[in-house]
Amino acid sequence: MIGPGPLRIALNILVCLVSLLLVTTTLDTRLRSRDEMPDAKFEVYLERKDEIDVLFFGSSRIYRGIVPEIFDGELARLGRPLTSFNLGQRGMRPHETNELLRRVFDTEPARLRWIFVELADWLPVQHSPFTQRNVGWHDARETISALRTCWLQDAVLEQKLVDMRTHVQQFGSSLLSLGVASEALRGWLATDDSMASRPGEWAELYRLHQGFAPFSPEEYKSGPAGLHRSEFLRSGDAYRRHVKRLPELNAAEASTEFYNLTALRAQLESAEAAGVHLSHLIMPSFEAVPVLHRLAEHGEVGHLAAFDDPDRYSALYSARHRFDFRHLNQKGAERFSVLLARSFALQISPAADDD
Amino acid sequence: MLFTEPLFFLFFVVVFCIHWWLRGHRSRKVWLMLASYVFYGCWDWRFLFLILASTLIDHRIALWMAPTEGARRKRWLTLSLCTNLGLLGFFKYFNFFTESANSLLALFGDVELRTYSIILPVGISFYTFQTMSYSIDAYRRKLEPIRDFWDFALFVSFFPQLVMGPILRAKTFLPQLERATPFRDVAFAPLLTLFVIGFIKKACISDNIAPMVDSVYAEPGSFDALGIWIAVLFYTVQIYCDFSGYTDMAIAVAGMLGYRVALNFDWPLLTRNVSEFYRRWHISFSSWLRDYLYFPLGGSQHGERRTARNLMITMLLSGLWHGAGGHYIVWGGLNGAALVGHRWYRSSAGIPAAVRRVIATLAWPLNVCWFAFTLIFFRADNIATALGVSRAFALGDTDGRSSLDAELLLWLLPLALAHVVARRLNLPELAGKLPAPAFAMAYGIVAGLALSCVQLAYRPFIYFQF
Repeated sequence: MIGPGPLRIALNILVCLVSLLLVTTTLDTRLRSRDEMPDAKFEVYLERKDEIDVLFFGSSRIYRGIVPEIFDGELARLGRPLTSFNLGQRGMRPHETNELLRRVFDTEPARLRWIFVELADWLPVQHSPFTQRNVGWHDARETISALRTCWLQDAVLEQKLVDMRTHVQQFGSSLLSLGVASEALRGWLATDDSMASRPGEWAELYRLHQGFAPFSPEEYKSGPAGLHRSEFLRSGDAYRRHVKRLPELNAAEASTEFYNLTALRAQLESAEAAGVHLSHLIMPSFEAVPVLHRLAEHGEVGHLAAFDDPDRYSALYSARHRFDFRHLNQKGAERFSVLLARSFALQISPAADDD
Repeated sequence: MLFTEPLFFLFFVVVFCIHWWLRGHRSRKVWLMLASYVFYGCWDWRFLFLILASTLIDHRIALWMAPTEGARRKRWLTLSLCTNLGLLGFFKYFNFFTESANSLLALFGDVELRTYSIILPVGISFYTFQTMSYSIDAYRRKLEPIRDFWDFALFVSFFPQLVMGPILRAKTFLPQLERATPFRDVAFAPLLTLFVIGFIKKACISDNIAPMVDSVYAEPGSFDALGIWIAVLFYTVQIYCDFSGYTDMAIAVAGMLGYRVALNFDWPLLTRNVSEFYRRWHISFSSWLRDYLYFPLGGSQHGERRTARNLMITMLLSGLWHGAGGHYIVWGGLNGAALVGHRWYRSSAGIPAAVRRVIATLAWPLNVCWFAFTLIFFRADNIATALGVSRAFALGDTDGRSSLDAELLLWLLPLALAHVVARRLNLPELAGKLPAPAFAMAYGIVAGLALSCVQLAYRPFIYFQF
């Protein structure tokens, strides 16, 4: 028996790969769903995209911390009536934000002029890297950027390589649309009745509050959020002592060599290319972020709205305005939204409007 | 490194290309052996020393045993068996027996034996059985001990079947090492088809079922009878697809490297009685037990009572082989009892014809349900949980309120239908008849569909724990 020649083998492999990619691409466009919560939020954004002037991007600190209706109300009171929408999402880090920014710009929102992006470390926190959401943002551009972040991080070589391998695998999973059909089936096979499996209810909530969702009564009592809250409530004096030291910690020397400046610059450039003003935001959090402040001092950040100064924004650090160490509660979020609106009103000079 | 992981595909492409690129048969074998050690080292490099020691010992013992006779010969065999069983006993059963002894000693006072934190080396149950069969066959003069250490090392460590079987027999595998298989003699289309079938079984079916089954077994007391029924039936599908899926992939991978690995599953879920079932389920293990345990005990040659005893001993030890836990022993015992019961049913003349007709009509569902029932003891973490689940499954006795959607049961119909159709069509053979471009296109489409159905987080194969 004489086998086929190498050329024919190569051709057959090519046919196989092309048909595989065709199938995966088709399935990807039809079935891709990242996560019920972000998907539901993006759906609501699409419904309103041409009415929105201001968008907020970032992690749960943004998502739980900015109330667009309060923000809009305060702006209107100051004579700048605008409409905003909170696109913050639980656990969203800058790489995912960048990919979401591109998706938003692709929708060509008619009135969008300003975006607020939470300034954070680029290193993606990946407790469960292989979920459709964490895989989903791995397009070629963002994967390369994430690889650079991993390489730059202040860690041993082994850790860098492990992190890089994870991103390559995630990119491969995204490219081959791994699991998109099983994800579509997951809801059907799900045994839990949690809200995470009821995207319709999330969408209703986002419609009602322009993308903001306060902590639910259940979250106050149980689950990971509940645990963080009880930890916060137990901390008492330790929390107050740490908050007192925050300005000093934020003023400390910090090297920016481990920070992915290329990605930050690319983020600013993409906003500029879309004709949108990008402001970075540091939320009133418990953690000291001296690197982010040094970046601003070095002129790497266009416009920074930093609210992590407990001396200046003491109300935001008082226990009655906080859910836990990292997040504001609804009262805190309302208060913060007013402060942000005031700061924003000062920022949007007539010159900026005319751009 | 799982067969369903991207890293394995990368590994296999490299191994495959270099294997067929190398000219000499010997260099190919050495390459495969090295690749197998790399594959095994990926789990935990420390256990490479263990497999190497096991290989060295059994290789030497068989050679030393060869010229001896009588008691001396038996001593060599005993040494080999003690080494293999000693390794298995220490890594797998030390803590189980120590804890059991502690429970017993607690009755007599405050005495406690120390347990250790021991990691179970992946695949140890499989390769120790493989080397034991080699020593026993050498002792019985059923094979000539192999002089070439590298060939023997490849037999023990051959990566496609190293961690989960099928358990190779030296007398069928070693002759394959003597003669090189030419590249042109490898039928790639059927083997690639078999691989994708195995992949679909494991990654698309078993892994998608697993979270649902896990959620029930995590808190079985909170589920109603319907939920328990669904979980128990789906676990049957899960374990079959998991294990036979691995075997399909192992056979395909070995085949693409030019080696034949014997069938391990011959459509067991379509059988109509337990005896037939165990002839077709995990064949390499069942036949190992038959040849090296059941037959030496006397098999069925010494009357019904002795046969029943032999069956029970064999199946109880089969349960123990699966894991160090009372529930595995109960599982083995249930299977032994079923085999004894079936023998009695077959030979009993007093059963009315009408009853036999009813049983014959319901044979298939009864057989599947019985297997599903026994698997409760296999899947549960302990006997108490297994008893709770089996009570709910058999009698509907549960206070649980959570349930699963009854519509899930409808999924069993297309799965069963696909199973029957796949058996009739013999898909690998059918694929072999397609023109190459048509096969390539169909393969790409099926692979694309399969990839879209996997779970993103990789799940280890169930039998890895053994």
